[in-house]
Amino acid sequence: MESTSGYRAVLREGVVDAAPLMLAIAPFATAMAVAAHSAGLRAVETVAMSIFVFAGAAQMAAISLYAGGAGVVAIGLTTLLINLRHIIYGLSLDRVLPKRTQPSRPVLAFLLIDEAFGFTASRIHRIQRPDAYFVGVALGIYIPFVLFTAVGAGFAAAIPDIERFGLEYIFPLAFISFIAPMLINVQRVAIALVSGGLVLLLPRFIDSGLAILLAMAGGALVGMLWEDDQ
Amino acid sequence: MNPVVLIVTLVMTAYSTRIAGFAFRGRTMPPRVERFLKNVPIAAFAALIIIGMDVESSGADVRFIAAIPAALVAWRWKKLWLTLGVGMAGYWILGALGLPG
Repeated sequence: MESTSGYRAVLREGVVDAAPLMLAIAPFATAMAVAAHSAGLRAVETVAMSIFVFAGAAQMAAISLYAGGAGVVAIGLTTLLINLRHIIYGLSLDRVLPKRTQPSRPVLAFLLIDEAFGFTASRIHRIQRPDAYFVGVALGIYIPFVLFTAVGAGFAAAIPDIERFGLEYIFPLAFISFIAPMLINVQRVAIALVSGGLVLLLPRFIDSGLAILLAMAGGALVGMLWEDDQ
Repeated sequence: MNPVVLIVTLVMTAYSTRIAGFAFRGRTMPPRVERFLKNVPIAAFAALIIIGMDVESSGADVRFIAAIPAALVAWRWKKLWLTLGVGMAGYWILGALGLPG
């Protein structure tokens, strides 16, 4: 596929590429909003959360803790741990973005989600404007995320037990589609195995959010050291 | 807890981690750090895949098995739609067959 240099065209490409994920975002956001309703949050508060936070996993965790009567420190620490991996995404992405991005980096940072990072990182060699692509993917997810939060929050009383048909399986499938073409040599496979292994093992000993960050860092470290040896 | 406090807490923990990685604003880094950062995507994808497999919940076996044809299709044709289609189809078929999870 040829990439065009126009900002809008690349942004649109990002939106289109991320469109399949809507199948998973819709049920997730709706279910999360229904959970928020059960936890005692008002619809406007739930929707505001999605608008200003835009972090599905952290929101879900916070809602569960809130429902259980947890305090602000517990919720703050838990969500901070869950979000730690964003640091490594930011570091990795920063170096492949142009010196001046459109919009500015602080705005791009707000949109930093797993999928926006994933799509952008996997296609970085083919895109002229990675900032535009990143925004496209992020918006392609942000808009349905907020919309379906509103649907779930607005109709929470009317929505029965959501049968999600296991659509959340779409998330790991998307990352499989990113990683498979990258596994072209032993070194790359080793990185994946180390990271995957660590994320399986570490949560037994340490907090899972910290475990995810360490697993990603561990895999990247293997990659750094392996090349070092040669 | 006041819901506004909840939202503000979330905004702070989410945004602080997101902006932290950009603090270097495109400054050049030593080669080792560059190599480390260059390998973050593949490590991140592997970790996220395993998390998505949700080994603690029932049906994990099905998720792992269904991932195999999806991964092969992804490796060969590199198309997202195809990977999702093959993966979800396999997942639903195996689930319908009632394989132990």
